Amino acid sequence: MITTHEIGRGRILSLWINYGLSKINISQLINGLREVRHLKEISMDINYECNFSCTYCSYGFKKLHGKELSSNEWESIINDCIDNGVKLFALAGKEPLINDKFNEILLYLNRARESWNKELIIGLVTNGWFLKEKVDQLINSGLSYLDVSIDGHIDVHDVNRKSGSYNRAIEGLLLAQKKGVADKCFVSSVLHAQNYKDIPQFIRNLYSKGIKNFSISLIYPTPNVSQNLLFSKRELEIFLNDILPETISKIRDASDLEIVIDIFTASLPFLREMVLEKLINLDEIHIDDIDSLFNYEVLSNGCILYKRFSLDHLTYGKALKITADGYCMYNYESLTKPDYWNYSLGNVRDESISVLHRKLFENNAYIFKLAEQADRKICTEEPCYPLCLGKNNNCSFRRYIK
Amino acid sequence: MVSIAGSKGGIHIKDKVPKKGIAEFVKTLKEGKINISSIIESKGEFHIENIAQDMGRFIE
Repeated sequence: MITTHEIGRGRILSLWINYGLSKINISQLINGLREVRHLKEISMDINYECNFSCTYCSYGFKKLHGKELSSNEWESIINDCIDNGVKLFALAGKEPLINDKFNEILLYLNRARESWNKELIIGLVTNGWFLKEKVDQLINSGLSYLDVSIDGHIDVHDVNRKSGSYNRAIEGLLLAQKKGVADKCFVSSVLHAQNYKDIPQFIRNLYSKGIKNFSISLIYPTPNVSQNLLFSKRELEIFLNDILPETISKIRDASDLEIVIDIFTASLPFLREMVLEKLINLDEIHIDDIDSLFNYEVLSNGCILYKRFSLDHLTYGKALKITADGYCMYNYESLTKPDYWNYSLGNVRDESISVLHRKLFENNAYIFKLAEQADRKICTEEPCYPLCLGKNNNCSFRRYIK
Repeated sequence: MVSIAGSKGGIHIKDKVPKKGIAEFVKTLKEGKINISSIIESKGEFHIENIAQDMGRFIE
């Protein structure tokens, strides 16, 4: 017998398919998603300190608006989230390993998993600088995954971050992997117009050093991001269909290599375009335990390439970020604002997570503005990425107007 | 920049690769292996009949 949860997931798939095939409009899509919305993932900024000062950092504010949440406060937030069905907690920050606050929070999450929900997924996202010295503290911490951010080859990474940071991160990751700190250890990289030709070789090199899990995410076009980093749809096609599989297939045996390409669908027209042009293969679309939609292919050498379609911030509301001072954010663009709290759903100190999550659909002007514009098939006058990049010459909506 | 929850630990499935896709799900529905009526009675808010119709149209 199919379970209730599976029915909900089937409904989500059905909605996206019909939207992609233009059988329903965006208002129907959003209304349908409201019926089955579930909060599944929480990104926890456990501090607001970082040892790097990357120019492309998504945070647009210099200091927190409010007081940093204590470990005790995080514990009650975790309880609230679990009660509301959250399955994945990602410790992030600026840099979560810069101090030792992560220990208490991980300990609590572990206890919560043992007591209430054995299927909780617990992750930690780090720049890797402190990993080698903190790795022993992470043993038996119950991490499901460890995510180390690397920008690309050593010269690229060290220029972006700090001299020596590449080697420190890789050494830390390999040590963490060796000591079994997490079920999976990931190298996480951002794909953009300047590195997409190099990333496949970068994966090959790191795989030869023993790293087996890669998460590659399409760059998200915040206002801080330089235009020359933004992709065209054609470049994305070349990467997905040609360069990546061809390069990785040259490895003789890669049956333990897993690559997740996170296609961050920053605009709904792009999502529709991907369905129409078969970049999303509807015949083979799947959904995982935290409701991520994905396609996959197994290369001849055994490597698995997953294409995940992250729709989190647009309509579905399956992922939220809680800032170090408790503001609940639903998209990255809000984090770029100096007065980020004005773009939040509210603060977890004042309202429960279920009330905050409900606001995403009930009071969020952005979603309904988007729906209205899409229904009228007019240009949003915002760069639809990676389609028209603000030039409005590739968008499916424009084609329909003709 | 990655998704708001980082890498999310990859894809979370029980098996290394998923066993079922939509086509198989629809096939299961069409073959009547799922007792749809009982689901509607107990969990009506999910409108399972729409899934069957929508997916049926998609396959056709």
